[in-house]
Amino acid sequence: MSGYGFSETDCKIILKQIERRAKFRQEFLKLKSDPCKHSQEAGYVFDPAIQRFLSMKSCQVEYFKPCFRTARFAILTIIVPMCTLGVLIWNDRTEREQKIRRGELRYKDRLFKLA
Amino acid sequence: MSSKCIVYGCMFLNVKMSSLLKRALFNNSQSIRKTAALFCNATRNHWNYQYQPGPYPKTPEERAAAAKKYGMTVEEYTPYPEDMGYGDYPKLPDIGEDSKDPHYPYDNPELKRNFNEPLHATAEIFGGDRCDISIRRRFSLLHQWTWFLGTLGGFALLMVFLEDYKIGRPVTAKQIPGQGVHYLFSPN
Repeated sequence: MSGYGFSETDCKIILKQIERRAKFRQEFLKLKSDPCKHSQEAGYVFDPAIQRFLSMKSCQVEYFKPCFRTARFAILTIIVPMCTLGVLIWNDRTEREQKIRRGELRYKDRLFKLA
Repeated sequence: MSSKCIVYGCMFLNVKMSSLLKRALFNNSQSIRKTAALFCNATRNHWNYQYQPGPYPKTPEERAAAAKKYGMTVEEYTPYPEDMGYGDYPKLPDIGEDSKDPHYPYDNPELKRNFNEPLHATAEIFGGDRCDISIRRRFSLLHQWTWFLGTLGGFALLMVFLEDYKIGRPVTAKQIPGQGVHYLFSPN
């Protein structure tokens, strides 16, 4: 079955997937229709794949390793915006204050004075 | 730095720090964080050790074992790069839930998935009501950006170039009797 535009490995993967799907579908239907399950444990069908996803999400902190990528992300999104914003605002405000004190900025030209 | 805080905190509370604990805390720079993480997990989610992803698979045998654990074939299984911090969790194709067939009889129709099918590592953002990277857009991204930036940019350019052509209520200059200012504020 190397036709249909799929390569050999793709065919193999797809056939295995179909097998697995059928097996797990039967298992799921058995578990779901089991009348004893609904009074044991949690009452719903336990899905190991969902549990693996949840455990991965909650344990991700253990796998974190600081490296160049993560450091670059932190610096570019936290440190650089905070510092640039701080520097720009500081310079702008000191310059405006100096202008007002020297008399170069007239009262009527001051922006946001009624805010 | 956080290890120093813990030491001073313990000293303040007159707690004796055993040499073993000190060694555990100071030897490895990651150990504080990992110890804290383990404690948080151990009290509330003590079952995570069974379902946690394992370490990144380096040998082919480890890869085969990991593929079997997640129920995939060895050819299909690719882990994320090691420094991304996912361990051996598989890298699944980025298909959002919205793109999936709505008429197939799924085992779990709320999530459009079947029983024991591995969830994408970022499945929370690929949910049916959220972002879908694989969607077939009606208008291409280029088209959307062009219209968006074009409209906003057009209005911005209008404002910039017509700044000096604004008109208000037409008034003349104030008419003062005599030649210019004829009063003084100071008594001299």
